[in-house]
Amino acid sequence: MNFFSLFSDVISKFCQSTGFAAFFQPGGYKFAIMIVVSLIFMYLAVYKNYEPLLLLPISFGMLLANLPGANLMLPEMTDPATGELARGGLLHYLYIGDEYGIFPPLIFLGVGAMTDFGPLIANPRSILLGAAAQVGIFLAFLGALAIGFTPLEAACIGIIGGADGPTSIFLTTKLAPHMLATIALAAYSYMSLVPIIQPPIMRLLTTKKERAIKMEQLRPVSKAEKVVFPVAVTILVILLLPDCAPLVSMLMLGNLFRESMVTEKLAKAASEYMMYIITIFIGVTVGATAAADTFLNAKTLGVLALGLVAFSSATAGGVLLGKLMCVLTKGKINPLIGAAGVSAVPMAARVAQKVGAEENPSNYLLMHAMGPNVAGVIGSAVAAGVFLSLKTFFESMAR
Amino acid sequence: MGFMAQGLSVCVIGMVVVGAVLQLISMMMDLFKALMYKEAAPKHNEKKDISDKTAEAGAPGGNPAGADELAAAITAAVAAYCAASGSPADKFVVRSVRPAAPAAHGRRTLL
Repeated sequence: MNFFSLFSDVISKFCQSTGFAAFFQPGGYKFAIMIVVSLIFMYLAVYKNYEPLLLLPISFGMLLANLPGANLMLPEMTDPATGELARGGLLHYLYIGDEYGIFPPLIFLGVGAMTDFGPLIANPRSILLGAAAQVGIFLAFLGALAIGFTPLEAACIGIIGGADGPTSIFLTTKLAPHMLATIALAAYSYMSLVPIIQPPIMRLLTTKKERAIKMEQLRPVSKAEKVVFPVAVTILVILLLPDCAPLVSMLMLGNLFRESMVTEKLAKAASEYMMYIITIFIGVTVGATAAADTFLNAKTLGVLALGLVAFSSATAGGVLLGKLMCVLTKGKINPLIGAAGVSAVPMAARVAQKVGAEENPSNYLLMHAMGPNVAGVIGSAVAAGVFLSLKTFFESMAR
Repeated sequence: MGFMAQGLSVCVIGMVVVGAVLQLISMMMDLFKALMYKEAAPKHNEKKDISDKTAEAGAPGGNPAGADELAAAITAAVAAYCAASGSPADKFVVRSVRPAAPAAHGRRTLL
């Protein structure tokens, strides 16, 4: 072998070992498409400010998963020839937190430590608005069944209507893990579009007079009520629906840290440091599940379309019950606060405030809307619990 | 039973369970409130008790006791300033005090 043929052989082997070579192999174009998609999401996060705390790590994870040769999501494997255990990729180990349902409840712990349930306790009727907004979950579930998704997949698509990222991730890892990236991206993308999706629906379903309704000031809530609330809800909900225990228990524990006022450091740790660390892990690993083969298919488009249906119908459900409550209370409830029942804390409440203030600048609906808003968080966790408890039934339906 | 009929039954069951659980939480809160305020002020009716507490806390819109005094104090301060600067002092009258509305914008969500 002369020098030149040896040289060209080495160069050829080196080129084939790089990630670039994978782009020119059959199906390699999919990697390029996914890289472009991840860059678009990155652009939306950085320059359009769409949920940057989540979309940026998700899009970066998506980029990493689609760089051929990086193998960051590769699981541990035993070499059949040598019997040696080859270690998996970094993101594979972090993904275990998603797979085992550890990260979403920890996010709920932080959310609980940040959330004031006072408006909900002050006006318990507003909890029903949070229940009405869950109608979007079940309508999207039905729609997904109608267009050919399996019942397990349909349940995960439906939960997008809960506008609750951790709940969507938690449920999807349990029922349809192959759809995790699609569901998480749809959920977080639509959540970031709440200020765009909700106002037209709210205006369409309400009259100008209804939007201008001023609500009475909420009563102050005592510390005792705020301390008893998380404990009582934990006992009640978990006894009724044990499957939603991980989410509800962590949400309420975080809130107890906050309201007891004797564990300020724990509340701070949960709502700041831990929450941000988990957000990084969950974002990057969820994005990393968006491999070209699982993401680039017709089902993804179906999920995105049904996610929009879920979000819109959830908003409509909340507003319509708000209208009914407005009639029953002789105009004491502004129907706009029903739209906040879709979770997306606190953005949906802010949207209700903004739309109400457009009709009547002296109208302050924010605290009233926070009641259905936090009720929506509990409601979507309960809906996830219902789907989990029906897992066996869904499997029998699929057969 | 057909596939879609099974799906529909899941929807009905799901909505009933979600509604029932949240309704139970609502009833539990009502019960606790009733018990707590009964213990705190047995001689007053609940509505009176709540409005008293609202006033004590200085909450806006609840006719807080200190709000009138604050409004009068601000009116007096503005009048004093106007008088000192030579402009008519009776142009400003603060009738009520309420907190500023929280910002109704922003994109960050907790979930």
